[in-house]
Amino acid sequence: MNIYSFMELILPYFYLIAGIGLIGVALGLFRFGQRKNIVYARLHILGVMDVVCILVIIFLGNPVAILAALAHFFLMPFAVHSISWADLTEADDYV
Amino acid sequence: MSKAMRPFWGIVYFIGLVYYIIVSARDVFIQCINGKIDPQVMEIDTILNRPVSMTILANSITLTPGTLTIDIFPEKQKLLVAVISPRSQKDVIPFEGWIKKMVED
Repeated sequence: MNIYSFMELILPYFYLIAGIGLIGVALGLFRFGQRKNIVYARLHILGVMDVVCILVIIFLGNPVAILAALAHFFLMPFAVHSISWADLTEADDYV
Repeated sequence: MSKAMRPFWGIVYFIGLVYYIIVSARDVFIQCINGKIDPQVMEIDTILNRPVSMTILANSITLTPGTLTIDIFPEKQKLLVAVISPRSQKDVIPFEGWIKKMVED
């Protein structure tokens, strides 16, 4: 068995696990109501979606898509910082 | 420690970062399923001095699901970090030592 047939064997299970993970965290996005710091919790949950989608794109094997996934990997923290900082400065209890 | 070892620690840091990202993604998935979340904001002390290394640490924290950096205070060597459930400082920044060896030593 060479590496390509091994990957073909493994990839469907990986996609299945990734899909279950995405559905699970998507439920997590909506099941928690309004509570303190819920914006940060939703950003954490979206971080899981980011990671799963980046892994799926990398395993798809398209070089251009891999570049896009890596760009997303390195730029995603800046967007999350911006959203969380905006929420912190807008919060009523921030001094 | 010589600067020649920096690429080695960079590789160690990247492998460790990918490991902690996958483990944290699994943990957050489990917390989403069982509903045991308690999002909090905490201040983290860091041993890093240079702004660039603190930025790398902040990005690493944010890339790891379950923790995200809100703000950096380079003069106080502190980070303002939001966590999805209470945890110790060591659990929030396990890769701090690798970043120090990669950038500052």
